[in-house]
Amino acid sequence: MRRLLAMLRNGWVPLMWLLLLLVAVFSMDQFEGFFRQIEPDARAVIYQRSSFAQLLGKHLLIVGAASLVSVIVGVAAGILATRRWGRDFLPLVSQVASIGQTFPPVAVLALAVPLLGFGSLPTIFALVLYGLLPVLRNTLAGLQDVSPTVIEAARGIGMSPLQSLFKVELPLASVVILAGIRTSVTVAIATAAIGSTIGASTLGDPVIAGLVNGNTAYVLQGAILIGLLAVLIDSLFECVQQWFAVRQGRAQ
Amino acid sequence: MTPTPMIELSHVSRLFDNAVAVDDISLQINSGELCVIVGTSGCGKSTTLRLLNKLISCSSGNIRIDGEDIAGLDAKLLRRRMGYAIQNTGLFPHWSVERNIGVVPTLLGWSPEKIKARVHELLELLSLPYAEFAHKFPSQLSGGQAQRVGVARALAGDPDILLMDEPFGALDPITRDSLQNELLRIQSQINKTIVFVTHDIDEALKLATRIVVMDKGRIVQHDTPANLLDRPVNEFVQSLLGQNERGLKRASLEPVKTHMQALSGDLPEHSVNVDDTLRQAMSLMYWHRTDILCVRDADNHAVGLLPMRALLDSPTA
Ligand SMILES: Nc1ncnc2c1ncn2[C@@H]1O[C@H](COP(=O)(O)OP(=O)(O)O)[C@@H](O)[C@H]1O
Ligand SMILES: [Mg+2]
Repeated sequence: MRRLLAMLRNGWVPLMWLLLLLVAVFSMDQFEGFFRQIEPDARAVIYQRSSFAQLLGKHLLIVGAASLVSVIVGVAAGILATRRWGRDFLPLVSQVASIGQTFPPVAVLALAVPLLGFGSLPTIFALVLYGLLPVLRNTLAGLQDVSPTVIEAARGIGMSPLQSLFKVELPLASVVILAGIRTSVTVAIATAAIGSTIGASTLGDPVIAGLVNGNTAYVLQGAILIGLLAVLIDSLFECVQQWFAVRQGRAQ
Repeated sequence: MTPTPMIELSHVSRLFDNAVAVDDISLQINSGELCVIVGTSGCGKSTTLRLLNKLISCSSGNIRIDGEDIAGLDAKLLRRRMGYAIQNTGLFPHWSVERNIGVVPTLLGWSPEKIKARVHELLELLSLPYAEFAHKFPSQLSGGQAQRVGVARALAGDPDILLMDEPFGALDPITRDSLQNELLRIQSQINKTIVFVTHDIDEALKLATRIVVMDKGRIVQHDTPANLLDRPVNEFVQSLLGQNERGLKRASLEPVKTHMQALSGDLPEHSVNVDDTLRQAMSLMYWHRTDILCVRDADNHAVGLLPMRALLDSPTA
């Protein structure tokens, strides 16, 4: 009962952000007066080329696709590199992941265009490259943090390697892995906006249009939406992490 | 007819990168024994134990469990037939006590009702009331309680054999002592074959039916606690037993009842329990500055006399 209450209490935060986001997406027109004050001379002060709902959907699709790949590849690589027969790859895997992170996202986009053309695909590629490291790093850290005594016990009582992985090691590493996914997704939400520079349709569109036309109101609208989306997703992760911790008896 | 030993090692060796950890060991452990492997750190005790449940493989030699060569057995299935308790428990921190204890029965495919009943039974056996402990997590237990749960988990699948690697090594002396007594009590009820590893000779003398003394990967002596004290084969065993303390250790293996004499005349002022050891009797004599104690049974009836001279007699059956 206490747990349920605690969860409801935590659940209010993402709900509030969700409401704010929906208000921003569907009733941006209501704030025309406010944006007019920022750009008194512009022809239009509310971005019109495409509806905000459409942009949000496409943004989410790109982030979702990229994050899915990041998580699958990152977690899988982290698991493989911590198996007994995969230990030799451990240094290589961590280095490759670190290198991916050192490229600025704009450079990755520029390099991806000649390979993958314009649009969503190179954007997703860049996001994956960028989002992989936090997931992989935390998967490695989480799995390596599991006490050797516990792993020895799992083997000693007769669990198969897969049982040990799925029943013991991954659940124990889950909170840390989840933190990595959270970082990865939150960064992807912000970075996806840059995809608008190479023809992907995202919440970055109003920002880029605003910068090109010198319309600060557009920039602000895009920025507000991206910000709200990022905070919403982040607070959702907060809830899920809390829930995991409670389930494992780490909080009450 | 000699009984087939429950565990039989013949000429077993194990190398780690050409360093010998276990060196040509042959050993038989009979059903119902509590065999304690003792020796200094790094002498190969844990390696020997881990060979038994195939956590590591033999470099040469073979091991038979209940007559079967384990080389041909599936390691997982073998381990589910053997309890395994280790230092620092290795309890799964994300699972409740109940789920930790139920893990082997679950792997064995028992029904949920049967598992629950088994967990109940084991918690009671280890003096941990179900209502209070079943839903706690390992982090909410004291060291002694956690180790009890570790032992319960090892017993859960009702294995014939229990392997214990310094299970009480990390506990304070008082908790360790009470868990040792508990283990003896449980063993008298369940009568498993137990292989127990420790570096503590006193623990070995207290628990063992027979002791295996190891040094540098070899077995130096395999004998009952009394024989080990009476006839250590070499200086290493002597030094392990402690030079000056040997007499007291020997006295603690001898119960008062084998030395007491018939009642006669007035009852002495100070008493000793009939199930106490000679060591405790000597301590009482020294403490009370007396040379004779009254021996009393559990109901506090006087059943005999223990004069100091009687300590020097050889025991009567
Ligand atoms: N997995 C391993 N890899 C390499 N050497 C090991 C391994 N396990 C044990 N050893 C070595 O084998 C010897 C015996 O170890 P162990 O059986 O753990 O000793 P004990 O339990 O008696 O303290 C030690 O020298 C130890 O360093
Ligand atoms: Mg050891």
